Amino acid sequence: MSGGIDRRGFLGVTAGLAAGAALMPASSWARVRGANERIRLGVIGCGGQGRWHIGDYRRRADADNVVVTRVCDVYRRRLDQAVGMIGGTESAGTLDYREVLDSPEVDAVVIATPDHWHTKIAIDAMDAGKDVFCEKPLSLTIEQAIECRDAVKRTGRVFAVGPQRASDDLTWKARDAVSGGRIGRVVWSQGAVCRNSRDFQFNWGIDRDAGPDATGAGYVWWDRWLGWEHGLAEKIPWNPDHFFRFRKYFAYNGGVATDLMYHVLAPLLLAISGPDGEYPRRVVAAGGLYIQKDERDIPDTSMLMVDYPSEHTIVLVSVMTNDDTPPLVIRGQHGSMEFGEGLIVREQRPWFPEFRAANKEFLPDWGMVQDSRGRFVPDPPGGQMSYTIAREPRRDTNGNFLDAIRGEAPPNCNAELGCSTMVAIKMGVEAYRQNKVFTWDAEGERAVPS
Amino acid sequence: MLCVLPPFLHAGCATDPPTPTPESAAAASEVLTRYEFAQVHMGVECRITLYAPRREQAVEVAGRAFARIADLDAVLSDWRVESELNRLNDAAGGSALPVSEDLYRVLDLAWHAAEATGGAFDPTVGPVVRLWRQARRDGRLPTPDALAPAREAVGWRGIELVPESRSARLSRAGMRLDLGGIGKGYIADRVGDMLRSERVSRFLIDLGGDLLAGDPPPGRTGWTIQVQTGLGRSSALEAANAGVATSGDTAQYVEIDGVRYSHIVDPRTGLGLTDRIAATVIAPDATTADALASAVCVLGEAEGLALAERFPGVRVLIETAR
Repeated sequence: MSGGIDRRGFLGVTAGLAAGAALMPASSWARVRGANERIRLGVIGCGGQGRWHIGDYRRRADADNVVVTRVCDVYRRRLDQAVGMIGGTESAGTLDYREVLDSPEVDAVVIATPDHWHTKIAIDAMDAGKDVFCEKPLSLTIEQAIECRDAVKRTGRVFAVGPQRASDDLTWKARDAVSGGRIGRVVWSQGAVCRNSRDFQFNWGIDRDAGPDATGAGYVWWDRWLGWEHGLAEKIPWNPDHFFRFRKYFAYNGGVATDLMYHVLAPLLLAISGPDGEYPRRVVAAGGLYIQKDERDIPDTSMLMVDYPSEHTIVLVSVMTNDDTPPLVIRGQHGSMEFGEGLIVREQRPWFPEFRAANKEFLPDWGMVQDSRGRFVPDPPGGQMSYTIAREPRRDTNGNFLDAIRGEAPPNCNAELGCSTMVAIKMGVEAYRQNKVFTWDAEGERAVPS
Repeated sequence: MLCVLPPFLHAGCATDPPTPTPESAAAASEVLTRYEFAQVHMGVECRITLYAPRREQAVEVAGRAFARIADLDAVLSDWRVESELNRLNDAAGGSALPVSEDLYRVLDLAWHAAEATGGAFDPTVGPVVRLWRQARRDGRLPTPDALAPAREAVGWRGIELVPESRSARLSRAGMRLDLGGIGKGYIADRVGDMLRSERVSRFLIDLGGDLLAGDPPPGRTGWTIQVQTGLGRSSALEAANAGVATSGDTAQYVEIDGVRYSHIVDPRTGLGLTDRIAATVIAPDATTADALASAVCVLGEAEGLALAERFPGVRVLIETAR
């Protein structure tokens, strides 16, 4: 991916010029908001995640000078709850996200809908002049992800994707360690999100009175939720399991891969490849639906291996029937880093001189001792030195989004990282579903099956 | 460029000792006399100064010491086509060869010294050293086409040692060991072992700049050693039961296109050093002093000192020039 390096180099130059302001496009001027200006948000999708956002922005309203002015959901009961949370009048809520985008009372939107709607709303929002926070995963398909990334470039809007771990201080400390050569060349990494439950994963509660034919609080705008008119999903009759438990179905998301692996792949890419991530070279998948065999078509056990052009591999694991979760680990030729309460950095035996030289400011003093055969050997012995980097307070994901809107910080998970993360995971989903190996055509930006 | 200080500096290569000087160490049961011997080995003048009660013993022990030097040179020399070292070199990329105890031991020490110095000392630097020897003769830098494969062949991790069978293997074809950065130190240590086993503990072995000092002369706290680095300075230091080695910008250099290249090659780049630096290392043994002196020059002043600090009993004197 030598082209990628060139491209980044070019972008770097562009950013440098932009800092001089002379070449900043007019649309960018418009979006830079004063630090004292209150940011007005519209939240689109008011299920569990959307309501969490509303609550979070209410908690930080004064500290961060932010307010949620509009909420949207296609399910009347959730919409009413959301309106209640923001203390708004009926006009503050809408079933139609376009009304949020058209509102002059909204500067930026938070998208927390099911995945198949993410990029449609995101692109419409950016075209309407709104900044966007999009919950992870970025999209349902690779094409949507690319289109959304391109819309960010085209519109110049602020765009952030929501894996929380991209805002974890340890992710950025790991980035410093990798870019500083402190573990040598990264060779492989692992990330896992595993769970276990007696009720099976994603079998969330169903409101029996809900549906498209209900009146009052139970009403669901089912056709809009499907989005079939926009080609987002197939038109099917009302199905409460699809509506309330959409993560069980490939029609609306990629299952545990897009829901959970995204949480670890985005920060891993950030740490290993940088804030723009890296597009994959090849993805293979394994797993199956071994235990949670109900209506779902997604697997309960999913494992992906993703090879990258910069010559490292990431192994992703998501298992819903055993929560014994392997730690997040980045392995380099000279050392490994494990994410825990802190970032534990350990040396590799054969490369301890290089490791100790590159990490000297973090390591205690060490010396050499002469053994019985007259050989000087390190004390502590090679392979036995490690240190832990503590997690320090860092601006969280929503705070970072507000800072980005105000032009004070780049988004922790930008469109390029969000897109490259999505591409790898979606290739894995298709590798599993089609029983094939997928490679990435970097030139044509498309996934090619074996 | 080191020599024992007067009054007993002995010119020439005669093996006869100078006039004995009776010692007056009251505590000693025997009166010790200083004897000094010199022979040329490995292309340098090798001097052995020792204290012994009788001239006959001194002559006999010195003779055996020089014989040991000659034997070890036959094992470790990369100049001698038929040396054991070169047999191993010629088998690079092939099977492991059983090797003598001395060759195995020096390779084991060299491997650990390479690891301890992060490869700044590297006994597999042979292929690029060959190119630089040629460059010094021709007054021309090695061509990139010649340098690239030579650099590829350098890498101490390619030395495979099997203690059970006391065998060694160079893992890649084209690898060549060059023990120039450790061999003389090793030989000095082994000669020192021999002298001590002969109950001669007060000695100074100087193998053309790589020294091993035994117990000090009677009534003294150490051997006074004059270090001359070729950077126009000289320093006197005192050492006992320690190895001393100087490495660096001596007379061995070549000037090509206005750049002065040292005969010391950085194993990591394959190029002769261009910084004018000389390092004298005092270590618990001569092998360590020898290997560290090269490594410190390669690493430069700051990194070199930081490296040396990790070694107990090691002191370093660094000189630099523009």
